[in-house]
Amino acid sequence: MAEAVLAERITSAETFRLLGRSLRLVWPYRRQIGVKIGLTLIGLSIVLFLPWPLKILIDHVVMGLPVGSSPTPYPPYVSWFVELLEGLSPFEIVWVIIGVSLLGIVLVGAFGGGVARDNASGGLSEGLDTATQSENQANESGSRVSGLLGLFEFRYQLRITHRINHGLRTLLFGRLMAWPLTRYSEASVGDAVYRTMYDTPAISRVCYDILVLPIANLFVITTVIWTTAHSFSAVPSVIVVACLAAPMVLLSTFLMTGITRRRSLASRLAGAETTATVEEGMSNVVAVQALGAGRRQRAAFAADSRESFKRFRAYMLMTLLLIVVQSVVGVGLVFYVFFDICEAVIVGRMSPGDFGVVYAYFVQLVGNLTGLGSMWFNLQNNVAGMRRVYDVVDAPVDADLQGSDVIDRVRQGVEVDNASYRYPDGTQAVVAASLEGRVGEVVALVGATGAGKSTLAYLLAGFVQPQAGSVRFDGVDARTLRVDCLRAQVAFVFQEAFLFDDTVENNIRMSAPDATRDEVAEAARVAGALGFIEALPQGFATRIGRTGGTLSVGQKQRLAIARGLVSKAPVLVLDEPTASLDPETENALVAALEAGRRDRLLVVIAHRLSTIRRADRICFMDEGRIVETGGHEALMGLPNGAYRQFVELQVGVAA
Amino acid sequence: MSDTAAPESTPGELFHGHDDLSFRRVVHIFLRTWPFIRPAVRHLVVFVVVSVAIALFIAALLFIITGLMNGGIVGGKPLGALHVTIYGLDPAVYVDVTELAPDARRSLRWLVILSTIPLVVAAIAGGTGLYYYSVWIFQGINQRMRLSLIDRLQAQSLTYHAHARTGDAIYRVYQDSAMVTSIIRAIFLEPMMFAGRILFALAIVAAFDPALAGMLAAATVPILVLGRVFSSPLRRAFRTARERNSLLTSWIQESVLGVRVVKATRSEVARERSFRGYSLGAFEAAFRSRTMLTVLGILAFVVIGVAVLATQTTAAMWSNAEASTFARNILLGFGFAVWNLGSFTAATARIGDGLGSMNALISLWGRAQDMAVGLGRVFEVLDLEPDIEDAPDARPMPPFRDAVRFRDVGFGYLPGRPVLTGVELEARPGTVTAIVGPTGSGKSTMMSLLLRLADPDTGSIEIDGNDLRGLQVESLRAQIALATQENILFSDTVLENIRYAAPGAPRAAAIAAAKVTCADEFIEVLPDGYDTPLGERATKLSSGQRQRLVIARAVIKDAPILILDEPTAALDAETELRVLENLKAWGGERCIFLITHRLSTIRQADTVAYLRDGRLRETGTHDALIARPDGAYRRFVSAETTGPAAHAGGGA
Repeated sequence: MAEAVLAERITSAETFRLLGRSLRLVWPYRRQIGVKIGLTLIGLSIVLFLPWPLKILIDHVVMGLPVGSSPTPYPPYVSWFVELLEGLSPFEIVWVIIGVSLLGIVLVGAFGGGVARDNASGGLSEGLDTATQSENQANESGSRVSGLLGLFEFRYQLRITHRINHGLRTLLFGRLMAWPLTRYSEASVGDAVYRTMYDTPAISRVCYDILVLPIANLFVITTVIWTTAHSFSAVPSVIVVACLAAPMVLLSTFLMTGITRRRSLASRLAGAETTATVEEGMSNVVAVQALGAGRRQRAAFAADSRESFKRFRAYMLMTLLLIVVQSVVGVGLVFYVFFDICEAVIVGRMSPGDFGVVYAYFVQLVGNLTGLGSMWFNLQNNVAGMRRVYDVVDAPVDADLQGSDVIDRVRQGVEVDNASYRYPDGTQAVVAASLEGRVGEVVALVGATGAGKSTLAYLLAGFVQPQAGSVRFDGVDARTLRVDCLRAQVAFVFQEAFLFDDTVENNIRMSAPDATRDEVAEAARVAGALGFIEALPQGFATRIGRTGGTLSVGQKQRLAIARGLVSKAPVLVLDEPTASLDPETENALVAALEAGRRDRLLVVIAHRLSTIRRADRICFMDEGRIVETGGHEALMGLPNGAYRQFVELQVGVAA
Repeated sequence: MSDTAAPESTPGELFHGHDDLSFRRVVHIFLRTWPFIRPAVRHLVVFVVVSVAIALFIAALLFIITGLMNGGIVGGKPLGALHVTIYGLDPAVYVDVTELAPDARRSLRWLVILSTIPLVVAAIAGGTGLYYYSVWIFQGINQRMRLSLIDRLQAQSLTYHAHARTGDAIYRVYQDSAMVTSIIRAIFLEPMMFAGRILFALAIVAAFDPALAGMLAAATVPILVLGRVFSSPLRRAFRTARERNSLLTSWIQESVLGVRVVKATRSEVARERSFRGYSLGAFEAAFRSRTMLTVLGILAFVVIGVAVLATQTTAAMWSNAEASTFARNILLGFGFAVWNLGSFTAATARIGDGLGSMNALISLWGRAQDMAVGLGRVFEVLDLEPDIEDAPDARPMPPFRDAVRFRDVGFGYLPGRPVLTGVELEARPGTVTAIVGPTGSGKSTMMSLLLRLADPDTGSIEIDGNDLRGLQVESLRAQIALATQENILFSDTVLENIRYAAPGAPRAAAIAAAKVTCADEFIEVLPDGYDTPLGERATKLSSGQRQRLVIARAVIKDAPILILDEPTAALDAETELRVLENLKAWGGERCIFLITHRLSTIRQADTVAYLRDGRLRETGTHDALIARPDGAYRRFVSAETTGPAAHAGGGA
């Protein structure tokens, strides 16, 4: 699967489409993001003001030049401050600057040139693979400044990020739960977890990248270029280089994107595979231990993990190359400007303090250009994650396969009319099956392993939809029914019991949240579970460990049956749930079900004769077809009947 | 469902983010990473040495260039003797003057560019190369730790897995072990680097003026106080954040695993509502912890900012007065004998670097609290002693030949809830022993004990007279093949699934095993036959088909003891009969245990052991037991043959 996805490249057109979708997703947060942009611009304005007090300190204190004698004009946003200082002695200037700086430290955590500046960020250490890094993305927040303003901005943005990600994760989880069952045979659990937890933050990240970064970067770039043009017109090359830097940095960044995005996708896929291996090993720990396959499982994990690391390194190598290219370009420009500025300082067209300002501004310029250039690169990096998220969102869910009609509780019964079903992998499971079940009846589906009994039961419950023929509830085609309406008609007990890590009571109550305690207890009693539940340390309130904990398979099965019984649904399907029950328990269960059968259609898949023969109608299946239908006696009466042979085999010679 | 929506209401979980990590424990945890680091030590040493060399080279070059650029070109002040020596300049023009001539200043520009080129090359090549090298080293360490986690988790007995959550395990392996790489940076490399830079700064600044160095040193006091005050609350917050995140992962995992039940019970909405609760809880905890970390960073910066400000203005005042520097004789060489633009820049740059390092160190300390929490969680897993471990004098199990004996075996998963009591049983090669009894009577547990997935609380199990506890677990399990009632298949091909327990087995052996269990017939018609891949949960196969694969897997292992734990429950009678006949023929001198409910299966056994409420009630052949007029087994069998009428309301 990994290779197939890799081979499929993400085109730029698709990137734009994905970006558009992401923007629509965060559209409800437009006001908050607007505030965030405002806060960022305020912070940046202060950052851009800061080199000037340092120039004043150098020129008028260190070099001792009188205020007002600067060979270069101050930009308007600084000159008001310089006018305040006019006529002050160096000593007094120092005190003013100290005062301003203290204010700066508390408010924005910054003063002076580039040396003493802090920025608020709550980033935690991350591992060297994509999964742990996206954990930081899920908590993305930061500010270009620190101090009180930085703290406020940080908290504000973190709240937005969390809200967006919470919304996305919930959306994704909801879709995962609504996927048709057939889809689950292809997707792994580890992959689903990975998508929900680690792929979603890509979207919030991308939105900041698109909405906040360009505005902030362009603001800095414009201010720097405008200020250089205004204050340093004495040195034309400074302006030329400032303008030249833009296309050069942007171009160098751009060239690398195609390679990096593929590396990123590969890295993510490998991460998901490792998660899946761990998950499988842990869920099946009994088999792994019992078969002595720990070493083998370990080797598989080691290989996956190594591959994941290798791909991450490949991805990182690209990033480093990019940095090298940009650094070389940057250094070349700096050399060029350096030469001219020195000349200007020597002949007195610029002051020594200006040197610091130009330096600080160029650092800002290159930094912001790189940010802008790698914006495309960062987007690419996240496109892979976005696409994996939208894969989930776009996959059809149950509701898409069903209609929107609603019917009352089924009164008459269910009809399967000539229905056929073929699994996506081509297995033909049910062929032109017809069967009728009325409320109050017991219908048994009987047949050899793999005959299609479970699939036929799935058709009844709408877990899969027939490709030909139909399933009708009181004469209404099940396809036209709304999903929840359809499922409300059918309670289903699966062959393999699955319990959630919750209390016994909540596990039983799942299908009928408003059932009373007595109803829960009654269902447990009928399912033969009351005895062992009451022996549990906290009875019904006992919490069940992962996938059933210390309960035996039979006990889990009985809880699953109780779960089906507590539902008031008019159709109850028991898909061979009694296989791991002992005959006594099963007999008691069947007897109890018969006693309360008046308002219910019971469809049971069973092998045990004592259960089968009590059914009103037995459908014997073979290779997806219903070959014989009728009561036990009638079918036994067919001289060479398939059912009769089946029964005789089971009863055996001694019976 | 609804009352579990908020994570706070979930009992048995530690949500109140306790802080059980003292400083010593943090250090202890850090030290425990040593075994994982040791194999990479040589690389780490190379890494540190090369880094320091490059850093010193760059620092020295910068110092020289600052003198040239800020002192000479920009400030117009004379250079030092060192410059003259290095660059071969004329002292009469560059040193022994009060102010440099414009042409002299111009000519210095080429020297700056010339000296900057090696600086840039060293910085870029060294920086990126070293970074890549370090990633390679740290990934290796991370890999070792992940594998060690997997080993430990797999070695845990079932009792542990019954309570732990899979998602938690994943989260630990992933997020928490990645911390190791950060830890090594955080506790070995970066502090070393930052401490080095602080000391370097102190030494240089002290040369300019000891008072400045004093200010710099004084800033460390409030920083240390901040670090101490914040440590414990930070760890608590980070622990809560990680636990909630782990809980969220488990929740998603469980929901996806049990999605069929969720759909069948229409509890999608309830699940989603609970999901919201878990998700919000996780984000809320993340918000708290990260904000706290940010506040620490901001407070530390205020201290550092004040220190920078104080030193910078003091230096500026001195430069204004052209006061002489402290160690003027040494600094003379660089042209920093008096306070001027060159010395101002050089000194403040060092101060900035020193204080910046301090700032980095404290924020590192803050993040280290998170790492410590992460590592603590990793070691919680690593510290779990495997319940089942080879005794120090354990011997390999000799080939099985005589008998398996249960001697007065008692066992319970939880104290006070015995599952088995006083079980006595003997089984010999060439026999089939059926273990029969109602659901939950302890049949599977008996077999788990035989496999030594757990040890009996009382009594003992012996094979050929050897107590299992004296045998090496690996050698014991090598002689037992198991087919479980839960059909666990792996996402691999049919062939690989069959030879899962015997990786080296030839294809022919796998096909032979599949024939014994009648699996061959359906495998043949799969699209790619034996090479058909199965999905993660093998959903393409029916239960009966999966069961036959699982039995084939046990058969191919070719072990002298075979346990079939209700392996045929999902098979129809005809298939079951054929499988059993094949198995009996194949069995020969093997000792077979069979857990089953089905009468037709039980009849095939040589011995029937009837278990009820954890006690062996009756043992004997089917015919002997059924002959007992009021025997428990007889009653049990009659339930199967006569149907529900006689036992209506019987229950458990």
